[in-house]
Amino acid sequence: MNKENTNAQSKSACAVSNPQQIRQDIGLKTAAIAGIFCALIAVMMLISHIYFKANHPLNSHQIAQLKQRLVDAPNDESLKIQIRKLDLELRAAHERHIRFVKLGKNLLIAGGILFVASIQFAFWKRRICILKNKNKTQTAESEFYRSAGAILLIGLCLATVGFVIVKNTTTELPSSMEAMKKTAVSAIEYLPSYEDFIRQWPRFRGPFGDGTAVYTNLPIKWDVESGLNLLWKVAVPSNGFNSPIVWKERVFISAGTAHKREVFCYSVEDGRLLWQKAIENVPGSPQKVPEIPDYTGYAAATMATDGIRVFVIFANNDLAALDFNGNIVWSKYLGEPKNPHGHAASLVTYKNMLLVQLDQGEAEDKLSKLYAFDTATGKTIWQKPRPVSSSWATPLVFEHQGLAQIATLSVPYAIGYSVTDGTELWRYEGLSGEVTPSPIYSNGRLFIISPSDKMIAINPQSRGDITKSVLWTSEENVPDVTSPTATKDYVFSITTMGVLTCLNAENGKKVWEKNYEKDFHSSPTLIGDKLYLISQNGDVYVVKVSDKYEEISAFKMGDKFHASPAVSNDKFYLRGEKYLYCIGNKTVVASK
Amino acid sequence: MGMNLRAKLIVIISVAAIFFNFSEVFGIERFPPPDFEPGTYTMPTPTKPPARAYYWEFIDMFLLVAVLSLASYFALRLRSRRHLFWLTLFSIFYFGFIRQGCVCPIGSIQNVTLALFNNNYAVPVSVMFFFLMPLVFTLFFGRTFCAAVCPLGAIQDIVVWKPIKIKPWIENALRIIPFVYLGLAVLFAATGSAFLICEYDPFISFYRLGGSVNMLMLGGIFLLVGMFVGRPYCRFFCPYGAILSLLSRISKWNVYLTGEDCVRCQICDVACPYGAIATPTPESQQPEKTPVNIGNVLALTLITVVVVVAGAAGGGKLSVAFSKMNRTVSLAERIAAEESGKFKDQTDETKAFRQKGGSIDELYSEALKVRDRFAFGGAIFGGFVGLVIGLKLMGALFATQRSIYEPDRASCVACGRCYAYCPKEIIRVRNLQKLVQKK
Repeated sequence: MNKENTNAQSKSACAVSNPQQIRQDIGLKTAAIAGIFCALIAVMMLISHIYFKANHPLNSHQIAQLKQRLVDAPNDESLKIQIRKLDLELRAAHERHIRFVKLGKNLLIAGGILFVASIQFAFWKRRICILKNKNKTQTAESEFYRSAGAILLIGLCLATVGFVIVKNTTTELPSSMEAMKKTAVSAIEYLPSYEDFIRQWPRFRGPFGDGTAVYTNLPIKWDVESGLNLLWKVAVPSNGFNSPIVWKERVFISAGTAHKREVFCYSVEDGRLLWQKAIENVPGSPQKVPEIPDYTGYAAATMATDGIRVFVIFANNDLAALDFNGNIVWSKYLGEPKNPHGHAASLVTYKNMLLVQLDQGEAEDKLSKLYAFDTATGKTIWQKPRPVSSSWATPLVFEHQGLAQIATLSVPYAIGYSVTDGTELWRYEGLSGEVTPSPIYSNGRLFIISPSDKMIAINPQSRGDITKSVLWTSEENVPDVTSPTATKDYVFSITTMGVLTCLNAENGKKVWEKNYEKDFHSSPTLIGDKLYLISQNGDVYVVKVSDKYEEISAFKMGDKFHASPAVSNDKFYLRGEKYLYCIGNKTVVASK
Repeated sequence: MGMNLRAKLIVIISVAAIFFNFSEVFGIERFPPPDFEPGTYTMPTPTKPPARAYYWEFIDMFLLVAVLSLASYFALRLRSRRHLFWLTLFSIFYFGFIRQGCVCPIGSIQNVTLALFNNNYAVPVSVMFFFLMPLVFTLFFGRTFCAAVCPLGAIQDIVVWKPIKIKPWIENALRIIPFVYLGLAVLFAATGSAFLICEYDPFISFYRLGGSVNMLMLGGIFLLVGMFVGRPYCRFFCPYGAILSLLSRISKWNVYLTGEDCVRCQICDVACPYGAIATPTPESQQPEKTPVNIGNVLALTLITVVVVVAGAAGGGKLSVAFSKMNRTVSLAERIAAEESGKFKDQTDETKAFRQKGGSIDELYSEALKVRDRFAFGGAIFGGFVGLVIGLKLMGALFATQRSIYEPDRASCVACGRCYAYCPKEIIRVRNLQKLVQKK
């Protein structure tokens, strides 16, 4: 009886009644109409999507070209109008696209709802036909083994996926901090702390690039003849105008001719030459070097160090990194030099970056670049083309309100870059001549010089074109070779002809001036409240930092000086044409 | 019928087109602000939408309990698919579109986990409520939360069209995956690295009418598959469903058909789109060769121990890969790659890190600590997966013996479809109606 019931019920479930059939047909047809409607909308949107992707406003070459032209000609008003017009058109097109997408979205939602409703209507109660119970042929054993097999297969799949993931995962991090120190994946962890860095003289004009030092206990008088406060002197090659740099127990200078270019390392203790290394066979560098005028020479640029390696650049564009034992770590050729006087901009380091300002040719030649190289490997971290002509000023890295910037000077622009990626932050137009004095940063102000023309104070917080928004401009005795130095209140500069000028740092007004009537190439150095000046003929002047001129001492050294002093551990390191001098207070040094 | 076939084809193609175009529909591009000259334009300050009013949390909690209660009533007492369907639509509307799928009980697993492992993180009351209430209801009424309350289940439920039957032994094996997902979600939440369930919620983009192209595509694929394989996310991925399936096994009440009156017509089995009807156990042709013997038990015990140990060992090795999901580790990896010269450009994250003057040493150290946590957690995760596999094997060996068709307590989501097809249930309802008419 039960069996008969079952059959009857099954048949009844399988039976297709007319109302059910009609219901299914209506539902399916409505779903089909809704689906076609949605598909049409979808196709239109797809076409719109493909077209929009191909002509995306953000990838407009036209606007990119116009913007590039604006960089070269920032005051071209017609260009600005063109950019604005095109920008507006692109935005309008984008808005139209968004409106279209929104409309399509709403229509799709409506179509989707109709589609789901139709499906539900058609299959609210499906017909179910039972033809055969296949389970009857199965056994408990086969069921178990199939289940177990499938479970183990899933486990195997998971294990395979895990294995593939492990095998294909690479990491830049070491397995532990100890391993990190051993493998030295990056030199950054060994780089000196800021406190270490400022106690050395790691670049041209010191850790701050402004001729100031953290040491104050230096002699105000010395005498090479009698040996007063002269700790040692050692003969050095004359063919190099670069200044010494100092890192702990070593002093470094470079020298070069058309035939040989070398790095020299001396001991700070006694001036002993620890090693000298010729920079040769630089990959890509031609054997025949360009002719460089003697007044600049092949080694005018001062070296730099990151605390692990020293870096040197010569006028033939050979760049090299050496370890403290004189082994070359890496070297590279920066291309054919196009500099009428020869390259002279010094090297600068910032953490793991070596910054090279290589300004060449005329602005329209588009040869000038600013490079950031990895100090450990020499690989380019970033590089930026510069719309400027040749220059000889050293770039300055400084931190203002938490942001590290690079200030660069050339003709016609002074440009500020973000040190992390070289993004341009600000630009000042109006430098002229042969830009050699380097910028300095003091007390929240950046001081830049257009040689023999004007000194300009800039707020480094400014962005964009800052030509018309500088803090002040001074035309008082503007130097053409030497770089300035500054205290919180005053800015000091000295011209090649020997006119020392003190300006008010806040407003640029002249406070006083002093004409030594001597030639100066060496930039002033500020030690505490004393200003040290050395003329080309070895006249040394020590002047008190004050609102009036006050000479503390004046004496002569028997050599010629073009380089600026280095200061470390209460000692001066002065490079003359013949000797490298170490000057320090003998009694204090002895007591130490 | 010809028209039917054509219509069906059109429907399938259309639906596919819709799903694949959802990415275009909702993935609206952003446009950068124009280049202004300095000082000529003040950029507007970004505004924040106001926080959701506090009382809404109580409304949410009240509605959750109300809908859970109604779902339980409709599924177990009223035994009405029609009522459950309308409740499903309400859940799609409220828990889906209004609440935008957040916080859902599925994702709340991660909040609770993070709170357990991080003393600085406190779980809001409403989140804890959303985590606990479906568990409590499941302990009493089975998976009525899945029936008509969960917005993820609901959206899959309404698109079921022509469900295919998956072999029980395949289905049983695939149900390991939700436990794996659960283990991963707990591991990543416990290490403070990611809320995987939320990040890879395939349907949230639909409810929010916007999202990443990849997630919209993923959601579309799930719905498309869901037309032919009922509730694919619920059955083979949902980590909360994995927990509910365990609790549902011991629930006080559950979906029930005819009991011993079952005529073995198999209609309920075919009607269920989710493969949740347990079929009669095949009878052993040679009772002495039953799989339940000491040899198999010992073998499976040994296999379980081996897979747990192997899983723990393998899971620990995944720490490098897994830890990359952690922001600190991914930043450290990128910084290390930049430092070694592997990348010449910088990302926004590394730029920000460098500009802030962060210590690379400290970053590396922190990253290695996170990786160590992953090594430990990964080992536990691997062992857990091994244990699930072992228990599944044991479950297959000690399968419940039954002679009738009945809803499987673990996998039945109480959708109520089977009621309308069971001949005994139809007779019961007719008799009930006659009784009411007589009265």
